Amino acid sequence: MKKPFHSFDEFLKACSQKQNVILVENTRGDAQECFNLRTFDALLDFISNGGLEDLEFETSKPYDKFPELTVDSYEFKTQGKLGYMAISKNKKGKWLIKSFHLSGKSNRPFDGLFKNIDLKKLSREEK
Amino acid sequence: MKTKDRVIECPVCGSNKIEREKKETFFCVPYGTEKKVTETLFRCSECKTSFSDDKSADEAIKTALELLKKDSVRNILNYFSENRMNFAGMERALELPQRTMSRWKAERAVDASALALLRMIRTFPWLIDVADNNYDEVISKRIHILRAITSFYDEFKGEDRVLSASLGFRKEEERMSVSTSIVYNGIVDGTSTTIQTTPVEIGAGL
Repeated sequence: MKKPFHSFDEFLKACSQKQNVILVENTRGDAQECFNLRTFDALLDFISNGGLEDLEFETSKPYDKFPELTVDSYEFKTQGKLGYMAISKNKKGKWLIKSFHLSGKSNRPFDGLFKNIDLKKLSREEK
Repeated sequence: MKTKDRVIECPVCGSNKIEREKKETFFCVPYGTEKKVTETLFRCSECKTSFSDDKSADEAIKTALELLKKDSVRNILNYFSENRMNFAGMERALELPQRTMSRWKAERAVDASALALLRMIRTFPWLIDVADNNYDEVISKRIHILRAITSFYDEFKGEDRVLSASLGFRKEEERMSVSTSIVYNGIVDGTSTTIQTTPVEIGAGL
């Protein structure tokens, strides 16, 4: 079973203390656009407050721009949205949130709500 | 790179070869206006990672959002007034102290939970009716369905392409079928949806 390279519990602790966490690349913009998390504080509060539902570890890979660092990527759910998060830790022990956006996999809104509904589209041929 | 107080280092590779650039972002809130916020972005010349000064960016954003939310409160309350939604009646239904909304309108400052409530009611004004009926589950569902049917017909009324629109309900035991059909210039586009529900009294009273 695959395991993350970095300790997620330590990452959570850093988020709750709002210390030693840095947003890099377009994390800030994506968090605003995809999840309405408009500030650094809002994002870290969300993460540390259990906002990442059904969190699943995906892979550990070298950081594309700096292979000496390892990036752990995760998928999570929040209110019917499927999200993707990638984190790393630099040599000085600071946590980097590299990505925080909608997952590239199916992200239809209200997916869960429709699971009990039998949808049948009537076409001219069927009629 | 040095700023006034500190040396800026790339958080990824540790390089201090950092370039600075300005980034403009537009923020808007529901039922509000738009504001531009200018952030300072840093870009590492070595590994090309971009990052920002989170604290100062947050301050600028929070200030902009506060102003936007005040505009939003004003717009929502003006909408209520313009549509003759009586503040005293709404306050009664929602069990808010009388003159709460007038105070919000005067001060234009509300807390986050009050703003969420205003947005909900602005989006679905019929929620006031739900509150006025003590959030009774059966009555709430009737109100919801009735409003949905009204909206459905309002959506297509007067649209040139639509020749007719119909909405049908059929209830058998614990399953309710909803069928809709819309005729566009002689082509029928129909859908049938079956929903498993607990029995709900619909029909009389709708």
